[in-house]
Amino acid sequence: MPHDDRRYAAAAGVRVLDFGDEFVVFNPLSWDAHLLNTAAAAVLHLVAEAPRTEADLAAFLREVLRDEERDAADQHARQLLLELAQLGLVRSVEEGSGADR
Amino acid sequence: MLIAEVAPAQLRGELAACGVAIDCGAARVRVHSDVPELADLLRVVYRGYERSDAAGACDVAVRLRRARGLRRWVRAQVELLIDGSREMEPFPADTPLPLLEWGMNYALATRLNCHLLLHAGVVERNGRAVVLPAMPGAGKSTLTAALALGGFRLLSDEFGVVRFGDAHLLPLLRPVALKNESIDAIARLSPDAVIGPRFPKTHKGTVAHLAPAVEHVHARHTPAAPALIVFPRFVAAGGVEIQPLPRARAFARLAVNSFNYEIVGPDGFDALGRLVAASDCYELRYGDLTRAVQHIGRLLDAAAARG
Repeated sequence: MPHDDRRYAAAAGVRVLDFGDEFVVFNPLSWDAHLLNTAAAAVLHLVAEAPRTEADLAAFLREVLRDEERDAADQHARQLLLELAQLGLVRSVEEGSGADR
Repeated sequence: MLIAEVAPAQLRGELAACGVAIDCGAARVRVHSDVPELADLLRVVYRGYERSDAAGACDVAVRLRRARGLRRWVRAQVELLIDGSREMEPFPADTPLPLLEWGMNYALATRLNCHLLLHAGVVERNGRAVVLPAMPGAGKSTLTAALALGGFRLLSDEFGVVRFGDAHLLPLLRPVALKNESIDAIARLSPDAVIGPRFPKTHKGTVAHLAPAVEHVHARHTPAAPALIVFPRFVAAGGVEIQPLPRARAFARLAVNSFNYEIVGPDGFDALGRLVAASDCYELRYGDLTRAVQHIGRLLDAAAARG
């Protein structure tokens, strides 16, 4: 499955609270709060640091996932990006210069 | 002079003329009324409040008045105007205090957006707040009243007022609305409690109001630091069961429970985050009020010991 080579960044105004096992994220579009697990929060943290490609995120997940899950890192990265984008928490940098933080 | 010390005729006259301002701590409410019975009711349930000058700035102005037209004579009603407009249906004329109190709740919940407002009872001890968020019918007011009569200071039975910036809890102190069986439960728990007259056949059943203790009224401008969040649920004939609640889950439930989270947005998110991060969070199922109060006292002591 070919990688999406666009770069993704966190939407401007996203805020993350770390409560240990779970994270709460403020959605700047809807003003909703979302609960995230550790993997989703880590991906959001990475794209908030700097724009990343799906391949960057898959490489990160390969490092942190258990041995039996590593083969699915590409799929996890794609799925997490899709879900975070659907919530409006990340967007591709190419969609708008404001997202490139 | 305290409201209880004002002669009934004088208070009636002031309510009908310029109105009376009630300083509840986080908000000041101007009450105006031509309903003659209201003065005597206020002298009981707001007995510990200073009668203050109605001319000063108020956050909300409510006017309770006898309904006009035929409703003045046939099944007489009272109606409430909030900042000049009628936003609630009239009530039967013999339930002026429940209408005033529910109307004030509605007015504050829809206007006081300078703070994050949770639907919660709040008490404190030694400067540390216990927040009791719950949906209607969960036993929040009953438990809040029992705590207020059991060594805790009452801040509110209805509003968790969270200050932006430091997430401290501000008092929004008003009488505690008790319903149905909880009226007798509180009267049995504390025979000295000052409870106003009972109003049967309201849409929530029989309602009566517990007057805040005078010392709690005096402290209505003293905030409390967040320490404990307990989601209560009354279970008839139950004992006391307590379960820790992960903070992220508590956050999500509080966001849903808030009156104005969606209005105050990022400020509310930050304040709620600080409140939850500084608090131990639990779910409590209780049927025994006395034991529930003891449990909450121990949980608060434990939270304080952890710093």
